[in-house]
Amino acid sequence: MITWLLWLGLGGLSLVLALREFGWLTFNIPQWRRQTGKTWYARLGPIGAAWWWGLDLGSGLTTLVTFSGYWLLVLAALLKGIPLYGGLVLGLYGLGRALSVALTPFLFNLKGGENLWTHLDALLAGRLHLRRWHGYGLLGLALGLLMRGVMSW
Amino acid sequence: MLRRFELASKGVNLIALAMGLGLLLWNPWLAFLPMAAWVGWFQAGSL
Repeated sequence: MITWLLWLGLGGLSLVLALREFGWLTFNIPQWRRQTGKTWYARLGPIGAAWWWGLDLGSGLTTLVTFSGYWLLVLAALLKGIPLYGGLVLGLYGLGRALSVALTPFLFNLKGGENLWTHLDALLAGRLHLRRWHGYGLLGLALGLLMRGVMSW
Repeated sequence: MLRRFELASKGVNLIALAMGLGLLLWNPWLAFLPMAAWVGWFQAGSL
């Protein structure tokens, strides 16, 4: 594929997705509208549940996609056409998800008598902030890719 | 209540973006690697 066209295309898509995250564009993104099995912990125990949750959530393809930047990763993995690269990209995606789940409880201040659920509710209520940060990141990526596309022309 | 989480997420933002944009200059394909971890962080944070 012509390199400059590739970077301009990915940059343009990243820009469109950024505008979606800011709420300036509204459109549906492809996703399987399901969540992973909540009862697996009770049925399979911690290790079994972690294993199957990892398989189910790890690729990102079988559950809800909340942040549209995920599809940029999938597209990059497909366009590069090298399985090792695709494995690295989605593996790092999974690592980011795992770190967020593993570290977030330690980032909550639970000394004030508030419990974990209160903090998780507050996190859900602050989803707009997360979308804005995601938008800024996609915007930065868009600018970089578009510049790269123009430089490669 | 979420001050530490917000600070951590801003830190993740800055680190991932800095790495991503820096790598873009060298090899754009590499930029997607830190960006992937960054997207994953936010995806999990959305619950």
